[in-house]
Amino acid sequence: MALQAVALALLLLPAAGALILALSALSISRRVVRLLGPGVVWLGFLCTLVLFVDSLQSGGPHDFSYWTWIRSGAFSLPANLLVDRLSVFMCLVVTGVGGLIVTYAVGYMDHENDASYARFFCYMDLFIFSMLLLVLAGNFVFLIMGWAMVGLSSYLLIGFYYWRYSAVAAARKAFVMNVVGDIALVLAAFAIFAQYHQTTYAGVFGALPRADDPWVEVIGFLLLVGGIAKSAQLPLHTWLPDAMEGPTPVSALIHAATMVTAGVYLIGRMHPIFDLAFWAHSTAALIGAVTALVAATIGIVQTDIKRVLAYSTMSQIGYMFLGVGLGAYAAGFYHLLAHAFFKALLFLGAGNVIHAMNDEQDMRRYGGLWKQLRPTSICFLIGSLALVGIFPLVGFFSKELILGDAFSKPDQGGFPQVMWAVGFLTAVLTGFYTGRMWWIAFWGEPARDRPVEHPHEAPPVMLVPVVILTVLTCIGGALQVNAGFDIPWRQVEDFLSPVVGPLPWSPRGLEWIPTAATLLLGGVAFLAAYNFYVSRVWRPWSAAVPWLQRLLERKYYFDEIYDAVFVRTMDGVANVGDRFLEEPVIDGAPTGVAAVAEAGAGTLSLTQSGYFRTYVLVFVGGALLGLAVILLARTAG
Amino acid sequence: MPDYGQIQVGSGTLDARLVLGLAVVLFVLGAVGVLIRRNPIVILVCIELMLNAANLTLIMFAAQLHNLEGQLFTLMTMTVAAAEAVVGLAILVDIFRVRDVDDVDQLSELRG
Amino acid sequence: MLTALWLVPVVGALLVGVVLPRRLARPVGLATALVTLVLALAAAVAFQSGHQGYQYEEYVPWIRDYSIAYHLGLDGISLWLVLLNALLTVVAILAAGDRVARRGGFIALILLLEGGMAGVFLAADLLLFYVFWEAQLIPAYFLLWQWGEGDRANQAATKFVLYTLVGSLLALVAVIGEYVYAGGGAHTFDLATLAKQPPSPGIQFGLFFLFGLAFAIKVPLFPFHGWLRDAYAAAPVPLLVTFAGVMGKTGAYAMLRILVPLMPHPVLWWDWNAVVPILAVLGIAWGAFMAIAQRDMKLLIAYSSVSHMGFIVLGIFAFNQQGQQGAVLQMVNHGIIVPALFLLVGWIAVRTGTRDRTRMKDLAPRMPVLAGVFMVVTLAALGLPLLNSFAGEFMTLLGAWQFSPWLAVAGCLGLLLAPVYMLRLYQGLMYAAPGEQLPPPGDHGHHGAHPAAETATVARTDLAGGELALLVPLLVLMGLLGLYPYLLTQAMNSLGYPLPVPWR
Repeated sequence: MALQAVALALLLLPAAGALILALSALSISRRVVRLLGPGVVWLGFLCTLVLFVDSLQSGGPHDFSYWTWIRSGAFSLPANLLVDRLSVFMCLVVTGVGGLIVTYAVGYMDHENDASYARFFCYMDLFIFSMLLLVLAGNFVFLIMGWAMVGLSSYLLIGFYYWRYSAVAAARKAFVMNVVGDIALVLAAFAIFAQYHQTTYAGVFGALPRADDPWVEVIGFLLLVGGIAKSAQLPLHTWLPDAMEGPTPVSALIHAATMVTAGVYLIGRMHPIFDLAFWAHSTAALIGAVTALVAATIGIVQTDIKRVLAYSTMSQIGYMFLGVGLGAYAAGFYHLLAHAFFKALLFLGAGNVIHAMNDEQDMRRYGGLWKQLRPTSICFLIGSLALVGIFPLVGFFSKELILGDAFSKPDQGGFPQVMWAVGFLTAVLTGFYTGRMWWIAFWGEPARDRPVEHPHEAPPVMLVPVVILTVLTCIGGALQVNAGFDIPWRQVEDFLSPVVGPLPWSPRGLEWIPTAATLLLGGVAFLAAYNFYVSRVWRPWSAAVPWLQRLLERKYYFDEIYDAVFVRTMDGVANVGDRFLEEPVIDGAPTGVAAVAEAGAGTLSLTQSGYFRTYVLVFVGGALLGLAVILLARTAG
Repeated sequence: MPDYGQIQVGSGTLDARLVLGLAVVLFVLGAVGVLIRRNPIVILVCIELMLNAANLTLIMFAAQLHNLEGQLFTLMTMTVAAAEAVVGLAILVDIFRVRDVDDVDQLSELRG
Repeated sequence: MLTALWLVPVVGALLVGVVLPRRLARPVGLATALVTLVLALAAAVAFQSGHQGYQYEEYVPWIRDYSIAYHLGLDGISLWLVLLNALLTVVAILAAGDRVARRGGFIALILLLEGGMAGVFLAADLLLFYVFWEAQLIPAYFLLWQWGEGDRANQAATKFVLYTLVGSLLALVAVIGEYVYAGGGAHTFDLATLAKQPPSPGIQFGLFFLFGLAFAIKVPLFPFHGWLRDAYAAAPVPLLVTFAGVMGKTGAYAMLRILVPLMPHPVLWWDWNAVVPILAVLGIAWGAFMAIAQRDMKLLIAYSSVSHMGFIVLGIFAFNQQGQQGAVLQMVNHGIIVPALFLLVGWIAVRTGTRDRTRMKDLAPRMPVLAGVFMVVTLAALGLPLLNSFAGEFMTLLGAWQFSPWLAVAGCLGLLLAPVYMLRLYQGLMYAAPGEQLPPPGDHGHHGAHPAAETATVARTDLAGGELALLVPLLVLMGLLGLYPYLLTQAMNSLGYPLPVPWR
């Protein structure tokens, strides 16, 4: 009972915070906002710790029902929360990393006016609530609610600077593309109910068929589309780079650490379905691998520091999809956790830099920050190295675990090994673009057009969360250290295996070879970027293949194609339909009928000559005709 | 069929074809009058002629079929005819008062 | 009790419109509407779910020779619509405020409209239903004609009345047809009896068309929404509260309570029941596309209504409990959202002097409260989960999926396009226009002297307290019904007479 209340409190605390802030945004004092905004998240973290301790002790899943959301015939849906190790794991990330980032925002957003300040924390708390709802939901409808609500919070926060049209447009784009995913989930829920007559996770997973069922594949693919849209995987990824229009803490929390990893959570949560749906499951891995590679290539040519990080996020989530798509769930979630640490670190570090540079985001205009922003620079370097996957940072252990599991997975005609190869190539590219970012922004001489001559380090409220994340990035790898080697210290896997099961295949003992290769080549690529972009010892590669640079700079023309195919078609249908069908035909039909009646009446009235005789003649003629007809009929009969 | 064309009139008989022929003659006179005459009074008279032709037929058949309904209906028709003549004449008088016409062809205000 | 639900507004209308002086019009009208609302609420509170048959019933023989009765009944469906009707009438009268000319007449007619529509929801006798059905048209016509906006209000009113009359006169034929052919020769107008013994499929087909056309025009169902554009453009906002909020639902209600139970198998050549969902899906998509094309804010919302009403019809003709209960949910939800939208849009139009959405921008810093409220209503309208519309749309589409998955997939097009037109509207009004990069707002939440108002003059700024108070109940309901739709559906199993697919 107590635990049930704690789970509900975990959910309601951020919701209450958001509601209070929303109702009083115009009058609340800044000091209260500073306390309330992050406060509710930290209280949520405390609740999560309670649940965490319980899950370590009992380990059993709790299914808490609170009220009946709806009941309609066979469709009965309780408002229930599922507290098991997977959801507790996600809650820890959401409230822990979330708490750090929201605290950071207290300093970062300080130059906003009072109303905007309150509005920001209202949205942030709303997001935390939505994300918790997403991971705690115990049935498909509540999952969809959380799913759509995080989309809403993301929309609100991307469009936070609503006085800039670019932010407004980016927000709408993100919302609509996320709705595509929401709809896929809704359809999946329909199919699940229609096939298995269940609505809760427990019910559905219990009712899944043992034998082959084509509907499982359909459901799997629909769920996958939902995950792809939320996690910015190909081909529904174009909103994420634009989402960088939002304030930097938002990018750190939503578009790096938590929301965009919801797709990974979804596949992990739905693993009983995906384990049965071979094609959907493998497609997830394939999409993850392709996205990882494509995003990494685009990341090489970006100049906006946040966009580089955005593409690296896409790329890293691609790794997670690769992992969970192949069935290495624990590895995928380990990377999710690691990514939450180091990518939040990178974004917050970038936030410090942007803050110091008067909101300039073009990293070609930085340079030489290492000397002036030493603490931030060190943290950012550690984050970068974790992104590259350098030992002994957390990124090394988690990424190599995914790649190692892919490398060793048997069967499937070498498909996992191909996925591994793509992942390996991506790792090298990751080293390169991360190195490029690091060297250009922090090393070398200050750029001539740098906006600020003598930048100031961020205040403590912003620096402390960054430092904490740095520490987590450094020591997080201690959770599970079997990357490439058969070391039985696997805390993440052991923790999650009651939910997602243990890894169904065992390592071949050869994983250390690819691990070493990845580490080596990634590090070399990181260093090689120095020669390209700082010392310029080597000729720019883009001079050799200008078409490739253009292709990458235009991001493979996804935006242009979508605009032409979808946006313009939609507007075209709307406008043409309105002008040529709605107005003249549907709207005009009643008027048209009236006009026809009027014209007809005009014609008929000509027969009214006004001459008495004509009428009589017609009358007599008619009478005679009638008589003739009767007589003829009688003679004929 | 000796009785077919005969109707009983008092103690004697009368050939029904004669009566019907008279009715036809009256009716055609009336109809042609309505069609070709222009004086509204004459037209009214002609309408009365047609009505009476119909009355004659009704009475003739009533007598032939020994059915009183025909005679009853004739009474009805005569009443209606009287009423109609009253209304028609009243309208005509009014028209004369206003327009001073005696030709129905000039009364074509209702042309569409 | 039930009689009071329609008679109180009618008596109130007579008092306000004929007897009392003008300055008493508003207080008395409001009191009347409130009394009706309290009566409806009392019925809702005392309602026992699980009870079979009409929960409240009134039966007085009217014309014995043709077994026509004054027969009213309240069950789990009509309860919510009567309640919605009563609530929205209060909102409408409050919204009419002081700005409406010839207030007495306006309020009297709004009350008459309420009475007519309440009668439609309450009637348990087909002929009585028809009487109320026609009665609601009369006040609507005068309201549109006399209080319409723009110079074509007269035409719009005529068009609306003639269009709907075509349908309802055909429905009169169908009413007689039901009497002659159905009920196992019982020759009755009693709905429960008629529902027990429908006529043969061929006859059903004919009656289905006659009734269906009348109801489809009222809803309006694509492609019978020809009257809507002019009528909604002409209707004043306080009228739209009940006109858009409730009147369309009389059509949907009649589909669910008359068309479906009385003519469950209209089969000639093929099953015509299957044609309606296709029209509904077409309407969902068509309404959404047309909403995208509109520049007039009122028309945009009018077409979004066409799209949303499509969901309701789709749910009704999914022929399963989820779809049909979802349709009832959606009737209530749409009845809560659309008035709020029209009110907000109307207030914005009053402030800026235009209804053309492309001539406005950057309103959010000037009217932050309005922007916030509008945001919530916008989100409810585009079907955001946790707000009410999601529950209805989810259930109707779930029903449609069980009927035919492709219909649900096609219906989802409406869910996809709703954010497009609603967000374009909202963002266009409230936020920066294309190409703008304004400085952040200063310390008082307002932009400095930037050229936001070059196109439209902002007369008054933020939402007044009274206006906000008007919306608060609607906003609370949006949240409540999003979190707890079972509140509504738990009463729905108690029906006056069963549907072809029984609700359990």
